[in-house]
Amino acid sequence: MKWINIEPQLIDEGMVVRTSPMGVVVRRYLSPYDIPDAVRAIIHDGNLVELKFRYMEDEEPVETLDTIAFQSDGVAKLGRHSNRLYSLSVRSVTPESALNRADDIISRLTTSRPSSARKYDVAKRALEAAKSQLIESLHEQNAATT
Amino acid sequence: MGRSWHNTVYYTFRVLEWGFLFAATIFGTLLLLDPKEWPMLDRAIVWMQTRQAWVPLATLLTGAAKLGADKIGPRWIHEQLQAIVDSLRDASFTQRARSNSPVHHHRVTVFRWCYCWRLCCWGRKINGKRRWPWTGWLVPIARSGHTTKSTNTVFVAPDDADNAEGIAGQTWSQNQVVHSGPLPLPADASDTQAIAAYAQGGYVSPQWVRNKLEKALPLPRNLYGTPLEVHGKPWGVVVIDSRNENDIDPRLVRDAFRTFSRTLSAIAPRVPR
Repeated sequence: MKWINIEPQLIDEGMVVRTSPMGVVVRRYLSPYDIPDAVRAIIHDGNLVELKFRYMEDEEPVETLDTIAFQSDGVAKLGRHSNRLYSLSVRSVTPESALNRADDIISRLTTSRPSSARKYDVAKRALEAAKSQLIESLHEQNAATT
Repeated sequence: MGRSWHNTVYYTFRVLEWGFLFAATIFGTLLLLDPKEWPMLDRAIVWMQTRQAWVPLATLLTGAAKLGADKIGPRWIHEQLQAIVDSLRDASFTQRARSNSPVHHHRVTVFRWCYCWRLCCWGRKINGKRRWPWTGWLVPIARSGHTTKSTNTVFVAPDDADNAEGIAGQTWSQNQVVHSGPLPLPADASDTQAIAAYAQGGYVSPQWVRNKLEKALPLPRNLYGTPLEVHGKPWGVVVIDSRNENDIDPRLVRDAFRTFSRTLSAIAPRVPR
């Protein structure tokens, strides 16, 4: 269950927010604290898939959020102060459906907590960037247990 | 404060703190004893009982000495922070930038968000609003290199975030990285077009730029601000500036910051206010 590193450039290319006639360009990038530098997937109890996100600052206490309220049987762990998504557990039969369900839960988090939507969007993009490697890792774990 | 004086003053306060605490404990204990039950100490007990005010006095002096020591802080904190900031600076700029210009042309400055009681923060008018010490300011606590350290530059970072001043203020208010450049270099205080462009790109007022020019202070041409967090909470910002127009590479700075942010977050909050 190795960590899969994420290149920050894949997630955030920056955005021009201001330009002036004399050639000044102001760009905005996401805070480096909000960009996960790695993700990994772990299978517990056969069909419980836990997706973990690793950030620059990992000493923050987390709070568990039961996402049943969003009609998805998943549990999210969010940073107490930053609201960053640290982990997401979903029940699913196949690795592909687990990632799809995770994607769905993150979308719901984005709409239910609009003030932190940008952070969840980043987590979603990190999952997309590492999707094939995560699926491969989950298949390997399934094969090892059977 | 000089290096040798720093430690001398700090440890003097620490010794005084423990000395007064010890004295307060002894004085307090003597007051509680009955001289008849402690014949060996009877003279000391009677002497102490005529000087009861010394107990609260010694307690107050303990607190004062502790405040003094905390205000100065041990030298190792400043030295560690300086080493981290210097390393961050070395990693943030390309070899070409570092070797072709003096150290102070490419700098890293760490700002802490706090109330600021300096004279310049009392009633200063920024964007048409008067600002006060309790408005919230970004105050520099460390800068790379061994020169250009005596700065009075503080930026307002108020609750009404739209009015945050400078790249430091914008970085704080948006909690995102802000990179601005290449900023034009005004020829003099009458170069209104360049001053306006600089002010717009640097999120400062034209008067702020004019003041710098009138005092013959150099203006950076490239500015990059990144948030600094402690335990998941915004704590301050780090601003990287360069006098060259193209010497800040966002990827390089981002990688450098990722390397040093953890140690920076551990040491910076320990710098005394």
